[in-house]
Amino acid sequence: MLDGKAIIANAISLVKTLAPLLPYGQQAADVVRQTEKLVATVKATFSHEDTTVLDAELKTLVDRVNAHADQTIASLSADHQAETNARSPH
Amino acid sequence: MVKLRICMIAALCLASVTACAVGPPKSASAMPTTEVDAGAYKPPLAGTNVDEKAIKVAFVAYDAVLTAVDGAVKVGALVPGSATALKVQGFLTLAKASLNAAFNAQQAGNEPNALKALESARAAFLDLKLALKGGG
Repeated sequence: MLDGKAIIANAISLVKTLAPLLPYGQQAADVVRQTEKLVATVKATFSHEDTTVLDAELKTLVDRVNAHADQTIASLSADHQAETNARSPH
Repeated sequence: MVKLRICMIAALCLASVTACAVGPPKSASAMPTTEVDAGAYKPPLAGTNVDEKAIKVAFVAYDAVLTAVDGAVKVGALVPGSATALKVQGFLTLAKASLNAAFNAQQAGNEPNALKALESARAAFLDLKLALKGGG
């Protein structure tokens, strides 16, 4: 069983914590916006108690997050950094 | 300063995953509502319910963690190839495997295994938080 109130409390805290990143530029602002969207998704899930999660919807989400994870995990390696630098004109 | 903020973001994402993806069915008052006590929180195994919503929330929260890590790399708080980045990489991989195991177990109706897998994901996120605290 999930506690919707706890999730929303954490989600609001997350957005509040991200907000101070704004002075660090456009990229940080993009991160805040993206995270806000994710938080909104979580909040929407709990706004209706009788909302059911369809199998197909869950599978799509799992596939998308796995793809995101692969991208993020790859971006942390030194090889990826070297490739990015090689592609850069400078 | 940036590192500190990224750590806070990660901790909050962690709280979203660990405090809410799995929880006790009745004693909601025992649930932590802040990131402070998320690390110490141990959901009781007996009677815990892992359903589609739990899996969805766990994956969405993991997505938020990934977004925060992307942001940390973009703003230069986490340097690819650094010791911290490689640690984070390892824990993100572990968390991904655990969440997928939880999804597969839940889909197969094996709730005990789904719960164990979510607990593994929780452990991976706690380690991830410690790794981020180490700096990068």
